[in-house]
Amino acid sequence: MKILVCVKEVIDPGSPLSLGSDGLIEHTGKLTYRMNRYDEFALEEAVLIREKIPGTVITAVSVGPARVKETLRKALGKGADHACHIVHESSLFLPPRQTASLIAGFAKAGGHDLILAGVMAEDDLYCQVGPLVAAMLGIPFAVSVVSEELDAEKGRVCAECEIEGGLKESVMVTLPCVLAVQSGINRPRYPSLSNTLRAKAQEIPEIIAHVQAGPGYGTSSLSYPPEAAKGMMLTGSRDDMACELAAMVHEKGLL
Amino acid sequence: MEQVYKEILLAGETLENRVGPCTRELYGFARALGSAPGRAALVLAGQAIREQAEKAAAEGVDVFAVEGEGFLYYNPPLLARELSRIVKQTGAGCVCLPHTMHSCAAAAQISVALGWPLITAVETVEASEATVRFSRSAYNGKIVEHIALGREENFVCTIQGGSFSDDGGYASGNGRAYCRSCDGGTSGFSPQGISGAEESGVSLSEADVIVAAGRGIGAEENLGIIYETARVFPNSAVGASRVVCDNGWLPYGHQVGMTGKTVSPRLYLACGISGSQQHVVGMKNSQFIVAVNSDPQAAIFSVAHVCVVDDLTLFLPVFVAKCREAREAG
Ligand SMILES: Cc1cc2nc3c(=O)[nH]c(=O)nc-3n(C[C@H](O)[C@H](O)[C@H](O)COP(=O)(O)OP(=O)(O)OC[C@H]3O[C@@H](n4cnc5c(N)ncnc54)[C@H](O)[C@@H]3O)c2cc1C
Ligand SMILES: Nc1ncnc2c1ncn2[C@@H]1O[C@H](COP(=O)(O)O)[C@@H](O)[C@H]1O
Repeated sequence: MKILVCVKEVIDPGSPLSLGSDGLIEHTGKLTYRMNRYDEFALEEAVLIREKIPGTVITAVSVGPARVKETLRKALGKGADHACHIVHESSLFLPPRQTASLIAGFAKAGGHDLILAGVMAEDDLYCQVGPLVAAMLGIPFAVSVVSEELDAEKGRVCAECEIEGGLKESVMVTLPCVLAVQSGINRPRYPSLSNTLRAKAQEIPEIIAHVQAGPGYGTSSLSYPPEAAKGMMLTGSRDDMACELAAMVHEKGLL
Repeated sequence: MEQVYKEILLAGETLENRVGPCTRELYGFARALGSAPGRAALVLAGQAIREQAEKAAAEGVDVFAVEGEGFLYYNPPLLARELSRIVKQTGAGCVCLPHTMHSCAAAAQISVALGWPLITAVETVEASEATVRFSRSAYNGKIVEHIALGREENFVCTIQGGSFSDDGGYASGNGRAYCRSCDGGTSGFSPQGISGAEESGVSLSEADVIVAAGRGIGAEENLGIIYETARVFPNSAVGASRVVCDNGWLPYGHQVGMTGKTVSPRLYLACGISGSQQHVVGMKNSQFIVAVNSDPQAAIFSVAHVCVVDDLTLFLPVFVAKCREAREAG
């Protein structure tokens, strides 16, 4: 079994985001970067499949600037056998169709039986790259996968896909296919020491991305949400705020 | 079939032949885009959907209904195939779907099939002479992304639930329903069935007050503070963000949001929750929303009526004490 896992590096949404005068995110020293959480679940699922099907080879692929090598090393530490870096320096979100076409271009030559992606990237929230890669490769896919059972002999996957309100749809997908993995499908493990040491020395091949700007993608810019939308901010000391809030809920007869 | 020209196709979502509530929000999007009702058509795909299509048409919008066995459950590739066909048949330049996981996947396929730009989770749209501008959330709502397309460009988009008004009419006299059937399916993907949500024994819907925990509680041990806070209120329950459930800190029965429960208590106290759209759709209709978050930029503050910027592990114990004092004081 050959598995490709799409791994995106994102700015930790918890770090203090600020926009420069050019309307772009300022990559200051205060930002921290990490693997998109949904991709951690995707990678773990690949490792679980390899535990069941010996001989499985896992490749992690990421599109992004030089720093994403760190995240690819994390992926190796968490159990990927190989990593590949599609180098693309971009200051804004890459349109999902461009990201997907880079990944699809890489995957085309790879002969992967299974491509795993996260259901959503925590920075752009597009929820697109997984199904786009599938569409571009002309292979089937399932999204929001919360459990899967791979039958290598029959060449298919039975997957449970989460739908709104907590319901699940069970689907049958033939290999090769793309699964966009939802959080909660497993418990991602921490990188092991031996893998981490191996990852340090391992070479990560680079592919230089050629993306064409031009029509068909729109132009994008960023801003803060309108301040006016915010509710009433309590002020003062912790005691003051707690007192004021307690008075409010009391007044509403909630106590 | 006679030739019918349309500008915009609105793809309603159906499951087991029931039309999802988000369909009306598609009308809201078409209105916001400035598309006259006569130029839009609703598309409904189901296993036996004619009746629903005629009902929608009677409300005054043209409907294209596609019936096929493959449409009993969600079937993104089949939906994409049929929508692409209807685009060709009607000359439509825009396809709009709800931003649910399955419609969103269909949108990806349509975009590739037609080579059209794709914009997902749209919250606002504004058309001017030269451009169409969309806005959508990034970074769980801390940042807004604006995307502009040329007025003449075709596009596929999905709309974020709750962003476009679902009331107000969208009618152009008498709508017509055009029904046809389609063959079974596409290769490689077959839906097998739907299973329900597990019984949880957590009754979030009856509670007057929900104290909800997010990743910001930091550790499972801190759930104690959340329960302690909930106990201050007579008819209360503990809710959670998905992350808390994924971490195994609470069972999924506590999860509020798009893939959890939708609640509207008298008080929703969001503790350490960032305010992602997927969480917010499940609680934004609560009567009184209070958010405690240490990050002044957190998007939950745009939903909350009252905002407290503080560390919840320090604030909540003080708040609990003040509530007890307030109650005793009468
Ligand atoms: C298809 C799909 C469906 C989904 N469905 C749901 C759903 O139904 N429900 C749901 O909740 N999510 C859902 N999600 C996940 C959602 O996108 C978010 O990832 C999730 O809601 C984030 O949870 P959170 O706010 O607890 O965590 P985070 O986003 O990590 O936020 C934690 C917050 O805690 C704050 N914080 C940290 N420390 C403290 C402290 N000491 N005191 C106070 N505040 C602190 C931080 O500032 C931050 O704002 C879904 C995602 C997808 C892709
Ligand atoms: N730059 C990238 N490099 C590798 N994988 C990516 C990249 N962007 C998106 N993906 C994959 O696509 C999924 C969905 O991302 P998105 O469509 O941006 O929400 C992510 O969880 C990743 O698995």
